[in-house]
Amino acid sequence: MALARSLTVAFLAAMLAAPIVVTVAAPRVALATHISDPACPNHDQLAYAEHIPHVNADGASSQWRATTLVAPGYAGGGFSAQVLWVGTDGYFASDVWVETGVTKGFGGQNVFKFYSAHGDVRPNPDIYVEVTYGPTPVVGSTNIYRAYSISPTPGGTPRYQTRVTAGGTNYLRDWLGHVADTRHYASGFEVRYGGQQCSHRVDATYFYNNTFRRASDGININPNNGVLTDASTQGTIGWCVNPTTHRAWVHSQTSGDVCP
Amino acid sequence: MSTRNTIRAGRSTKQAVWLLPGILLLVVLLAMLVRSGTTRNDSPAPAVAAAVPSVVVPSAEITAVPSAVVTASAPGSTPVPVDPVRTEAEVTAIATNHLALMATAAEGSGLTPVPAKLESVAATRWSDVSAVEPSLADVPAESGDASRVIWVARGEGTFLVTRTGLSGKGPWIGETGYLLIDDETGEIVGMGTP
Repeated sequence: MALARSLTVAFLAAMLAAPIVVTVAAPRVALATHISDPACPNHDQLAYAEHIPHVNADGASSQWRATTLVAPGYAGGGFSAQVLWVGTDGYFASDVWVETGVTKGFGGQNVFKFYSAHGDVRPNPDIYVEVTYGPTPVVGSTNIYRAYSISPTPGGTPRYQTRVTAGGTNYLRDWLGHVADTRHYASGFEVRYGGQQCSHRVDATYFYNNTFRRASDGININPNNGVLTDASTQGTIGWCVNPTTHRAWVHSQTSGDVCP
Repeated sequence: MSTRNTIRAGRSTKQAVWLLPGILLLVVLLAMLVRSGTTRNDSPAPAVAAAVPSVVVPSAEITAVPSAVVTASAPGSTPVPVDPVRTEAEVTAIATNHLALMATAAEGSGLTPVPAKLESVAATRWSDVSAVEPSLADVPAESGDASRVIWVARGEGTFLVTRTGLSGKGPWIGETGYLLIDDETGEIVGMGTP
């Protein structure tokens, strides 16, 4: 009886302690697209939605369904990837950042992997490190990608921790030399051709729950603003509810036009 | 029904109210335990019975076959017992081939490759990687792949960075750095510069 009561109380406590996501309602807007350039572009492809938290933040997360990625230019360092970029140290994610996502093509190999990376342009030379981690991703599976500031032990070295949860197991990679706050974050796709122009592909997926973590209380906030940036010419990016639920693809025949 | 029986019946009802969620929780916990065990099997940890110190193999040139096995010497670190399935020579060859591949790729991008020269090759676990490469954080033990054995091959060469993200930069080369090679699969699982 006492054991059952204790377990029940523990169960209720665990439920109450579950992560809270605050969603700010926003009006539904039309899907934005543009016509792809019929010419084969001689450059790489990048499309993302970016956000600037309106309060101090110490991390961000995003969620999407892994779709088919094609990267025949892998041997030349090419890849196709779906990515969460998170700025650290008060910098934009273009300068001092950690990132995590799923990639086809890594280290000159024809592999399909979860990966994590970090970079810093402040020192000379720049710092850049990338690793794969976790199991082989499953096309069609939805995973949550996170990057948060943590201090693992009292007096321990501050760091940002990237995390992907796949198959019920957490996979973690920590990056030293990064502290809060997160001033900027983004999610979308990146394609580097590695000498195989026009042949890479990212099938459309929806990036959603693009939250930042409010530093004051650790609550994940889903903002209702952001900017869509499309540096691609044969792919595109669009949004459904607002830029926090957006989709992106390149060279894909399965882009579709239906919002979730 | 007597008063005494009514009280008993009430107690039974209360006990059932408390017991039901408890039983449900036990079932959930058992299911989680079973699932956790299954998932961990997806990332098998190499055998550790034969405790061998982490190995660091000095190599003056990338073409040289390492001949010495010494202990990881990062300041304050404790040698980590690992039992790699690959030899230093195999890992050196993997690193050599990769740097050559990246040199070719860099030339294709109009960059000038850097001659390769490995300085050390060492095996460790992800959970202890900072003992070999201090710029990396040890992977937390709760990570599903913390116990995997990797090799760290450090030196000079064409450490080609193509994943430039939002920076607006094109591909660039780090002239020094390291490769991370999975002991079990032989895959390149990481690269860092400088």
